[in-house]
Amino acid sequence: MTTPPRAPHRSATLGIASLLAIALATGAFAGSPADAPATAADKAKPAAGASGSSCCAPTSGAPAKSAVKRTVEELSLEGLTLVDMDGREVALDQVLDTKRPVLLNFIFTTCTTICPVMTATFAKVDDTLGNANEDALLVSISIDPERDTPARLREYAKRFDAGPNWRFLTGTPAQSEAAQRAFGAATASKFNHAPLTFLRAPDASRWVRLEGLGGAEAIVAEYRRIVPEGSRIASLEKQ
Amino acid sequence: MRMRSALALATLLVGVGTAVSSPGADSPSTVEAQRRAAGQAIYRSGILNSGRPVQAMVQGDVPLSGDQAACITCHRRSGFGSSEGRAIVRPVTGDALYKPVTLGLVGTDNLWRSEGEGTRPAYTDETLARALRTGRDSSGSELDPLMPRYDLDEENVAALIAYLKTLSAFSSPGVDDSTLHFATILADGVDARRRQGLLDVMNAFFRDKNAGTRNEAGRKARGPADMRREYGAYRIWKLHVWELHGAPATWGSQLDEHYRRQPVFAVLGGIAPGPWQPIHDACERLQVPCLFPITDEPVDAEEDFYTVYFARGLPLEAAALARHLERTAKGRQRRVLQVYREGSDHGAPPALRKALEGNAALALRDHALPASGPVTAAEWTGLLQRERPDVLVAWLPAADLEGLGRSEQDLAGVEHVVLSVSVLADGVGAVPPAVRAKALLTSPFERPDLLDGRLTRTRGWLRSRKVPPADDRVQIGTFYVLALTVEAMMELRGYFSRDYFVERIEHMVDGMLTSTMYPRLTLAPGARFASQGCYMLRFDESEPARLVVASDWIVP
Repeated sequence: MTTPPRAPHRSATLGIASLLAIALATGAFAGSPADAPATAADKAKPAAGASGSSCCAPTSGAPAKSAVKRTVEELSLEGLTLVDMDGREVALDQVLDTKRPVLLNFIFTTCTTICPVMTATFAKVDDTLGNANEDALLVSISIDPERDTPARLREYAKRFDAGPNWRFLTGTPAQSEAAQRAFGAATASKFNHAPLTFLRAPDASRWVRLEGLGGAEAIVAEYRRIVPEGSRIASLEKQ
Repeated sequence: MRMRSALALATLLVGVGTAVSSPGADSPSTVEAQRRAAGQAIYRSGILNSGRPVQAMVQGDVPLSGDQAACITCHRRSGFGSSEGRAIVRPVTGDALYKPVTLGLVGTDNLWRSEGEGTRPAYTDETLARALRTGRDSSGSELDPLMPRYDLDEENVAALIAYLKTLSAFSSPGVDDSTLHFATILADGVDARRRQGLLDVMNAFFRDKNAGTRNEAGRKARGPADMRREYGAYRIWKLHVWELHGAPATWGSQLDEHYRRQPVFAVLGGIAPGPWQPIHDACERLQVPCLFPITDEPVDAEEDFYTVYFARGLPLEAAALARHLERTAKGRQRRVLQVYREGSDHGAPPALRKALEGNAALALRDHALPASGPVTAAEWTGLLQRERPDVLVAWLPAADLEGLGRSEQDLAGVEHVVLSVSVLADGVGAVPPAVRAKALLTSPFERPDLLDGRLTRTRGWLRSRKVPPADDRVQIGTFYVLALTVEAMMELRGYFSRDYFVERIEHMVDGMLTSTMYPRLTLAPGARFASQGCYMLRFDESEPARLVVASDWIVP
């Protein structure tokens, strides 16, 4: 596999444009707003130039068909182990034992339909948050762990230009399956896996589960709910 | 992959240039062929005719570039699309796009709608270009946000549309209105028992399948109009046994000749001694799917499309052995000696060398025995006295081990004699007792204590069809590929495209209920090895000795 040319998604202009688009879209986010308080992001004012006229400019507003289902869950991750990109066995709760906000998803590197979009979305989220000087931890766990060896994950990470704050994990089929079960993400075949994104605020024990492909803006919007801009103390416990 | 596609494009363009040189370089047909080739480069690699990566936006705000945005990613090589989770990727073949989508006789209401939700008129070049750029379909509705919106200028959009119009436009060769042709391959040097074992399963299966097809053909002729597609897909299966003789270097041209006489839709199973390379290359060249051959030496080239293997073969076993030896070294220095026949320095020996390269704790030496002739007890004794290995790795059949361990001194200082279950085949029982005590065996198959249980169903089928039991690996593997082919053909729904066939197999293997010799088979788009690991086994103390696991499932 070779590394494709860098997508233009790291360009500053696009980054700002999308941030604005995200601010625009937050109010229209498809999850139920009743279970979460208003956050700083909800109050952000839209600005001109968020959507361009070219075919490929970000579209404003959440895409109509991609309703994202949002739930908040208490998960037990005790005793789960996986293998990191260097081939070291790691305890998942220790990887996630951080004061940083966490975003987590399940992927496999040979997946053609959902995962490339999910991974590109994570890359975009990472960029967007990076631009805002955040230090979120991104975690992608393979659901095809025997094929997705640590070496293969390193290649994949490189392909999507993942930085050091984005960790890809694999393991034995049993380890991966246990992790999937813990997150309620297990399916009989990897081709049936749902597009799931999990977010956790610093110091929180509960996870927000987003089911559906909502684009980067849906994830960033959710992130802003649990980690309001400028604050790092929000916690799901208080919702 | 990128490089390969660019190269393929270059070749195509060159091919186009030379093949139609007579009508003149810019004759309409040349221009059209070049346009299609440019469209193929966008479709398969995400490369525009300027050589730059295509840009697109997916999910409203996620930018994609180059091969991330290539159509092939979701719509696949055939253009028939795919599905994943709840995401459905529709076909984008010209045939599908340039026909309207109407709601036919839905439910019991005989509903027939050609407008409204769930329908669209046939695309035109204009509406298709609009859909690619803005995501608005031929009815003006918004396409799913999972479909990228592409930044394509007039020239590139025309190229892509020209390519889509030809995509999977015709059935692949090897199928006509009544018959589906398949081949299996048997090369010189295959043990007679295995050969017969394979043919017995094939013949019994084809007989069963075609007995059912007689009624299916009746339904095809008399079935109701709206069910014509389902029933129309039935075909009589015809098996062609492609025998290969002489030197492997000549197999390619022999296969060309077999194919010329009767093209087949796919090659199912087959056995050949040594590397599968000449057959792999021919199937790639002829664009014929080649499914799950019985081989220990597959071709490790997952960028190729047409051949799918059970496992990575002896190279995988060698790499797993290296991993096991590393894990159990516990800081000790060990001398490893690998022994093989001259002329068979492919498969396992180079893979073990590669895996242990630069490993100071496991110093590897090689010894090649003469290409043929018996290996005497004196030869083994001499070799072991000279080399004094801690680990002796013998990539040899049981007959070559007869003289090993005759002298008590032979194996006194040897910790393990490593053998391969795949190489020993049905010679596992013939391993001499002295060797047995120290044997460590590489096995890519299911744990011996679980294997029998897994094979019960297939063995029942074989018994009920009066197929004499021969070699498990051959018969179970052959039955599997046939059962898989039946299901995949149903999933094709009459779209007889070889590319689509391979894509369905990639998708189906994870969920197949028919078991094999391997603990778990999984495939994925572009993956060509279905099993990834290997056990280390040993003989237990019972009489007769049974094989038991000596390691976890190792995925090197």
